Amino acid sequence: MWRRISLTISKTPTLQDNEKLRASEQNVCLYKGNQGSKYKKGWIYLTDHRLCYVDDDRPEDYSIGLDLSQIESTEYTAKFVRSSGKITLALRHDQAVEEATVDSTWVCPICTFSNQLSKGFVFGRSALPTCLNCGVLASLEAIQASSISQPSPAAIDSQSKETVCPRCTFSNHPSLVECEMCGFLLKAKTETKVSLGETVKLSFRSGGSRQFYGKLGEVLEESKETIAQTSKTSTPVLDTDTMAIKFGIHSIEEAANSKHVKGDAVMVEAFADLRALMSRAEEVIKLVEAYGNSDLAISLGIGTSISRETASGKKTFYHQLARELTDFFDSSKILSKEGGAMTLHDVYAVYNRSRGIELVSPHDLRTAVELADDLGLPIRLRKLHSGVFIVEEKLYIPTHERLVQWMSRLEPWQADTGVSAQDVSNHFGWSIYIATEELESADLKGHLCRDEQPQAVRYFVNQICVPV
Amino acid sequence: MQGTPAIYEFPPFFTKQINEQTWAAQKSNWEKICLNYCKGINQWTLNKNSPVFTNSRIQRTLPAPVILELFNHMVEDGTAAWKIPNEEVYVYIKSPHLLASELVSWTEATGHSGAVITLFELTNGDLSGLSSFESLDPGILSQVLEIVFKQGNATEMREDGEVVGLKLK
Repeated sequence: MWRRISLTISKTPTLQDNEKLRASEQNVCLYKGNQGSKYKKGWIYLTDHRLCYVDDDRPEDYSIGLDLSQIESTEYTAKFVRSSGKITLALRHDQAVEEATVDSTWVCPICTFSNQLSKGFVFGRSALPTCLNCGVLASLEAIQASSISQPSPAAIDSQSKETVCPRCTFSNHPSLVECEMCGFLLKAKTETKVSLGETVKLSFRSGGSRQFYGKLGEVLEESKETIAQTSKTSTPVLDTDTMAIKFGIHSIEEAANSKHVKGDAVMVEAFADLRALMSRAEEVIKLVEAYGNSDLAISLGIGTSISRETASGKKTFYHQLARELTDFFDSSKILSKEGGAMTLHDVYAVYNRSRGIELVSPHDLRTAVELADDLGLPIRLRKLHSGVFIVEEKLYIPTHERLVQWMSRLEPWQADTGVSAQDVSNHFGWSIYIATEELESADLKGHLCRDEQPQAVRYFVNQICVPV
Repeated sequence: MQGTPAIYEFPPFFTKQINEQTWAAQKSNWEKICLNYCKGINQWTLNKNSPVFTNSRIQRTLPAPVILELFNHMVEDGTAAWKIPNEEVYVYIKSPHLLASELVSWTEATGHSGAVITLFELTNGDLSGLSSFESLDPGILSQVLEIVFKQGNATEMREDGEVVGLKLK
């Protein structure tokens, strides 16, 4: 079952704690079975737990996610002539529907404990369940006798008419979205659900389907393993009592086995320290964030950083890098602190310092920032007339206009002497270098004019000739 | 200086502007100021050290290379001619052609046809109605006379090989 997902400012899915981006691909289309859907062109993201689709044109409305646990099986169709590579996902049977239909219990004939009938139970086909209390197999009669006990007509009536609030048990009118008594969201869950049928096809129009499929398989395998691991650790299978009685070759084997197990235990203990350290590291980062000292946080590095490995395809990597850079600026506020403009080499230094590991190359950074404008991100790359690149916030007023506006509003005494690069740097928060460059380019365009003095060049609003 | 436009008080006006359009506007503004200045004090030449290029009130002086560029522009425009190349220019408050035709029409209007006048008389302001020729630079005067002689409206009178006067027709 697909759900609506929340997005960050850079139009990527908001990741939960411990969730990491594993792969992403652009220009992907979702098919409902064999038919098209309204999810026509967008990004597909693969994280540890989810598969997310973010629409290109309307990311707010058409962004959905799917829990990996919902995926029953996957199938890969390679690119052939005009048909692009596709991944077909078969989803597990819709749980929400089951919840509504199966709501029955059976009573154990031995201990009279009333057990929930498992959701996937089909009468006559599935294996008989065991009693949770005493572990005895249920008899067919017992299930027949109790499971068919349908909810009473009165209950059906009240269900269809009124919604019972799960928090305060007040029966609300069915058309209400929030509980009348306590304000609990009654329908939020159902509204966020998006149904795309039981099989969904992902069509990769700009390629990259093979890599994505590989990653998907890997992640699915991993998530299965972790589930298996957690179930193992919760029920330890080590039974020492039974071992002591055994003799012969079997006992030798058992002894060797137990050695292994012990060795494992030692290893687990040893690495437990490391894990503890890791969990501490997370706490430390949280602590730093709580203090709001961004410089410290930057020196510690950002939590999830994308690398060439997590992004399939070269272009995808650059797109992701641009998005992450936007998020980085958004969270660290570095760009706004610098007056909304930084030279590319400054950005390179600050950004790589915050990454700490998996540094990006200057070329990668430049390519990524070049793409930012096309991706609709709030930053862009601009070449100053000296050839130096700067990364700046996207503003609707051009820089020279901002300069002229500010300068024409100056006090008369200051307007008479003009402004220097230092004045501009102080006012806009730019570095002296950028201030000088911006003044010169505005001058070159004829918006300002210069007064060359032995001490410094001072700039004035152009009164000699108004530029066309 | 009296009667200068407001732009003369604008400090960047004394620096060559890097924007082409602005620089063009700046040159034509300077040209006007130079012509007005020369007209005001009835001076027909300008050089790099002329006081017009210094505004003591805002402590700005137009640099010499820029002045030369300005002179070049004026020469191209026909409002000036080199007297000493890259040093001094004649400023044509009135062009030599205009002066020549002024002289001819003056001759006809005042009935001086056939009269002989010396160059001294011309430039000393002795002749009423010919104020343009008063204290006219000898260089420009000779240019004017050349035009007049060429048109056949007067003949030259020489003494020791130098033109000292003219006989009007």
